[in-house]
Amino acid sequence: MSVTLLDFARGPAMQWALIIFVFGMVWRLVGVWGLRHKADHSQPRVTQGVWKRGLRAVFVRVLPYPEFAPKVQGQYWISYVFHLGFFIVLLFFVPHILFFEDILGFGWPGLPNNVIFFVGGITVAALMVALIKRILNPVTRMMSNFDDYFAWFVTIAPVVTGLLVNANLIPNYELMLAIHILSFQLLLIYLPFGKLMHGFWLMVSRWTTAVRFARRGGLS
Amino acid sequence: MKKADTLGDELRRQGISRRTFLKFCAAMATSMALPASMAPVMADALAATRRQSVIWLSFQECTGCTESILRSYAPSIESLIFDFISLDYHHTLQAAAGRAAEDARDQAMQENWGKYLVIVDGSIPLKDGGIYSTIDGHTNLETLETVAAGAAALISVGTCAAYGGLPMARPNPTGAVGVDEIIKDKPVINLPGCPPIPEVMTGTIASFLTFGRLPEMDRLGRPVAFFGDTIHDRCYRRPLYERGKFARGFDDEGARKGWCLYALGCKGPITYNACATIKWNQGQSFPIQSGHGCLGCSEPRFWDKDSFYKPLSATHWGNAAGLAAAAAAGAAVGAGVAVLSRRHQDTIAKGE
Amino acid sequence: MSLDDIPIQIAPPQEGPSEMPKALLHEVWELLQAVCAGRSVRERIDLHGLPLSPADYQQLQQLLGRGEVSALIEASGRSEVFETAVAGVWWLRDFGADERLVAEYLEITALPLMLMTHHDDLCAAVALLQQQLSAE
Ligand code: SF4
Repeated sequence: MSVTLLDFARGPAMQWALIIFVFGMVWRLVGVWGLRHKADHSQPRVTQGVWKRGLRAVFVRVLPYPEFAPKVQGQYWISYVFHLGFFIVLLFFVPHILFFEDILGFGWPGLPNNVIFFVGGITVAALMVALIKRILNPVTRMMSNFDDYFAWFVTIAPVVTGLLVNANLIPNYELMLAIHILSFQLLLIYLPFGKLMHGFWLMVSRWTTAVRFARRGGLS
Repeated sequence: MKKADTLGDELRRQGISRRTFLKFCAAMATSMALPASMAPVMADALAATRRQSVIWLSFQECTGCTESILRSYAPSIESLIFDFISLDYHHTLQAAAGRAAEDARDQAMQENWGKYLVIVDGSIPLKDGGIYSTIDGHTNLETLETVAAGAAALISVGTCAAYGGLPMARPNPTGAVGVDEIIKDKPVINLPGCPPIPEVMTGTIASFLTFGRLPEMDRLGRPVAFFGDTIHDRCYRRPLYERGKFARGFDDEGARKGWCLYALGCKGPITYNACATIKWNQGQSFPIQSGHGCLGCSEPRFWDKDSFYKPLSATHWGNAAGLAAAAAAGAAVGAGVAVLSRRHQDTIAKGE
Repeated sequence: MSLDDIPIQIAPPQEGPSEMPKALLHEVWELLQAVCAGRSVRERIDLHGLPLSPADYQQLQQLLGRGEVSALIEASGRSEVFETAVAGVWWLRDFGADERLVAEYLEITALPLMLMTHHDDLCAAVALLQQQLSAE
């Protein structure tokens, strides 16, 4: 009885989750950047300032390629909604800020709880829609593997449990809080080792692809 | 010896009429959230009982719990409880001392075997044969077991008796435990708090007197009537929590405006107690109203949980050195993997 | 910085009463009906434990009004009783000897218990009086 789940979640579980997260992240980053670049044997068409093309791609690709827009823009918007929602909830809920402040040594202003709960609700809804679309579309369904579904699960879990903590639906607040913290730790631990790593690779790969294409005189 | 009088008869001789019973029970019903129509029934039941013999055992404690119930604010309706019980043994309060005191206890036990109520404050040391706290040559463990054998029920008053409390704080040098770790064959109710709220003590005793049994308890053995909600659930600063208005220091603008104390380490959200509703000192105030966050004193192990000033959402995340080591290890593994991969590419290039 | 520099905003008091007094009145009506029909002798509604705002409280007082009887009782502190304008609905307030309000409730009955002499007290008085008489 003496050590509660909440004590465990706030103590050893948090320590190990952070250690695994940092270890995994550095491993993946160093490991991939340490790989040899693929040699490009073609004659370079553009030699000067390819980096500008890279930079341009990073921004231009924020919106779907106009030709494809009618088909994919729904996907884009839903993704933006839950990504943004997730980060608003993560970074602007005051108790979360206090968590970061404790680690980083500085904080920032937060948002009122009702705003956070509203955004959290929208985030969950958008994530549900994203999942349903993924399953209904035969192509994405075929392309999806365990990694995709698990990444979805570890993303939605902290948001749902967080809303439950504050909704006071579960009479045992401290148990729900412990589950919420543990679900966030699951996300931390899984992040470096699955597709969630896109959070770090996305811009890098946009850049790299654009630079490679530019060298060959193409656009990305 | 003549037949023992009922409590009603006994008190009437002291000039206390049945109206006082009615009042007492109305107050009790209110504070325990019982239906108001129960009060007259309770009053009749209470008046018909015999004066309840109570044996109060003090073990590893600071007497704060006794202070709390005594200083409750006599004269008050709640302090009438002392007229309803016969406190046959209590170190601090009884006139008798030494052998006479112990004899009084033995006599009370004999006369009321199986019927007396035992109230305990303080934890019981178990280490090294329990030698760290003894009374009249007996360890607290021996005393508790002997006295509990003839008890109708036990009430653990304060966090020490309920869950070990301060004596049990790391490294728990005396091997202290709470009462319900030892007594398994009798009903035990926990009234934690450091100290507990006087009304919680008087209300629980009164409820035992009227109903002849202990009230409904939660999973930590606490009466649901008083420990059903968290401080946070009933806190008057809750709207400020919802609006994201947090005091960040004890003398900043937020503190002066009475904003939520979450960021200053308030443990209200995980603490079950009645401070926010019953309050302290005649309903005057409670810690949060006085500007300090809740310490969580009615929860098990509250001493060891945390700094009182660390926000609940901040964690024991370790330290920067640990994370740096993790990063270094990650870099080493990453570099190793990259080297292996390059070698592999070379081998393939050589066409082997 | 002086205290005046702190922009203190006082939250506007919640305007008007809530639905609570109306709901209470409905409950009173039901209980009164029960007592009238002889299904019950005495009913009580706790007011102390209810989250009544000052405005709610005022409105409840207005709705029930004040009737013909009022009384003060001294029993381990003061108690106040009055019949509301609704006959059979009594309003009671119990104070401790420390003047603190410990209970407040409506009693729906012909005569509140607090005003009645308990039968046991009455019988005890017989003996007491007899003692006095025989002493003379
Ligand atoms: S002061 Fe404490 S109990 Fe009150 S709302 Fe803030 S966190 Fe909750």
